[in-house]
Amino acid sequence: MEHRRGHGEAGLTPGRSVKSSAIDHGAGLQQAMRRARALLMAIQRDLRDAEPSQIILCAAMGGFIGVVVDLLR
Amino acid sequence: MTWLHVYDFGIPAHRYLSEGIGISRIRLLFVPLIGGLLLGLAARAVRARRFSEIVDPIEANALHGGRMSLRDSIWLTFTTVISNAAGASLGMEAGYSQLGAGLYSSAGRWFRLRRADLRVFVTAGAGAAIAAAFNAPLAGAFYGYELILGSYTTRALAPVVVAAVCAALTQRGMSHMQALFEVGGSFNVPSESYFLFALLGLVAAGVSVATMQAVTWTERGLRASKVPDWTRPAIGGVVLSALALFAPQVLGSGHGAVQFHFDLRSTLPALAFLLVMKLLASAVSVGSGFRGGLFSSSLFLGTLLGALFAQTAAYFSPALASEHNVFMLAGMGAVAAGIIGAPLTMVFLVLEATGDFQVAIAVVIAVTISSTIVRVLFGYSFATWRFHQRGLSIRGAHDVGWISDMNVGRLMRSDAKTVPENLGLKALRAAYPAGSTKRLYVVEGSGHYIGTIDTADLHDSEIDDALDGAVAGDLAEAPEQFLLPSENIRSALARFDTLQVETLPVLLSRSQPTVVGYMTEAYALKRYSAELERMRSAELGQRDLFSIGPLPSSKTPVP
Repeated sequence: MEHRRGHGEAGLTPGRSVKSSAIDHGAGLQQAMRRARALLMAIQRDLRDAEPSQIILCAAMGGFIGVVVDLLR
Repeated sequence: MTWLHVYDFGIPAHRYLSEGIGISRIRLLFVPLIGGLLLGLAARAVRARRFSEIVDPIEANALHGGRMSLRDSIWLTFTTVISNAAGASLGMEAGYSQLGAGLYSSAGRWFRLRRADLRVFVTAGAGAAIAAAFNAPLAGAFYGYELILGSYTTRALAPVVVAAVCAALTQRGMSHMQALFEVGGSFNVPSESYFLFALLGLVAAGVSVATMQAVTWTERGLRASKVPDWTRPAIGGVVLSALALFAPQVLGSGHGAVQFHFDLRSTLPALAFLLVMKLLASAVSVGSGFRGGLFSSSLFLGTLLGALFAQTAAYFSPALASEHNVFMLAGMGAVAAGIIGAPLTMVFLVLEATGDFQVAIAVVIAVTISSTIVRVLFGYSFATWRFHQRGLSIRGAHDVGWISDMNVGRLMRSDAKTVPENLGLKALRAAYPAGSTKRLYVVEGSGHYIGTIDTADLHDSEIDDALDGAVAGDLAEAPEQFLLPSENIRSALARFDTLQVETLPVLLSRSQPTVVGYMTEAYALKRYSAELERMRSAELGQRDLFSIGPLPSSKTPVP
């Protein structure tokens, strides 16, 4: 994908090329953000209803608490 | 914290502050005072911005469905660190459990967990923190069940135990700490001497109640002295320094001191003196406003009581001298169970420290007697006693907050029929024929409620002759019988019961008595019982708990 975009930009002026590249990056970032948000919402939904996921989260956070308590001691 | 104590009090790097060894006398005079001043000023600065108390894990689970502020929790942990660094006779466990519960509560809220699940998360957080603090996963988990959740359920088993085990294993991996206390020797408690542990439990109950009362007396004394709030921790610091000059082991949480007394034996008068001094130091620390809990302090107090008891018992029966450590462990568990209000936690704590079931039986006896006496005669643990002092009627972490969430404003029907007081009865009969509605609420021109008309009375043939010239206000009854939107469902049900009525109007407020709706007793009872069923099902993690087979439908022929 990146390679093809590079070929397309070859005939454009340098300024135009930078602008369109920035727009592409912006759109890509937005898409990535949307995906991340969708993923987080899916995790939220899953965790709300699935007991095993809650247990795994408790385990992970338990390890973190162990570290914090050890440092505070 | 150990580094802070080394820096503050000049103790050797490998020592605990509460061992009372190598403390610089000059620093002893100033550090608690400076720490108290810092704490007082910091608390004053924060109090200027907020008026409510910080919600702790028990209160969060009892009243707020597990919701607690992470920012408040971090602040409380920070003040606990300042207090402990200044040598206050308190432990860090309250800070640890607050932080753990706050973190889990925030995560749970972020994941939009249900009320019952969020309460389990808070329990897991507090339990994990205690498990890591004492390197005792079972004690941590049961601390959660007994104190933070208020009950044990199979639904809460996995999250809480897993969190506690992971926290303890992580902490163990980082510090290579094996056991909470190293208690040497083998234990061989003669069967005929077990009654002595019951006696020890009895005395421990007295020490527990005395400690809790001493905190209240200190607070009352300082309040009566009218000194500014922010100076109280500094005053406490000065008193603490004075006590520590005579008994340096009163400083700090008491972990080091407990080990000290397992390793070395003190004389009977020295133990009695230290017990009184530690009790006073703990009461002064909490009462003057230092932050922290009595978990560790109660363990130390109990250890001293156990040692005292063992020496007294050995005076009458020298054979018991070899079981000195068992009495110390039993005393430790019994006093801590009385103060903290978590008997099984203390049994597991000792069991995890010693790995000895014979000792555990002795501890079970002392702990059971102590916690039962405190519960029956005093009625509170330290946490619930503090709630009581603040005017909160919480007797544990059982979820009672949903009752206040379930208020009249949420449950009422808002389509109340209001009529003006000067409307003629003939017109009223025409507007509301018999059977159209059950009750009409009569209001003044300003909209203020003045009474209720039962439509059966409106259409009663006995008043046919008096209809001319009569208005709605003439038939209005019971202007003093109403509900307010803020009242909870229990209060509303009690009102229905007292007034012996089926329906009540809901007014906006006492000062602005406009009708905003009405509520029926039948609907309130239905919602209350449905909510009770739902809460119980959610607690046990079984959504269909009360479904026992298919309900008979109206089409099913009755045999």
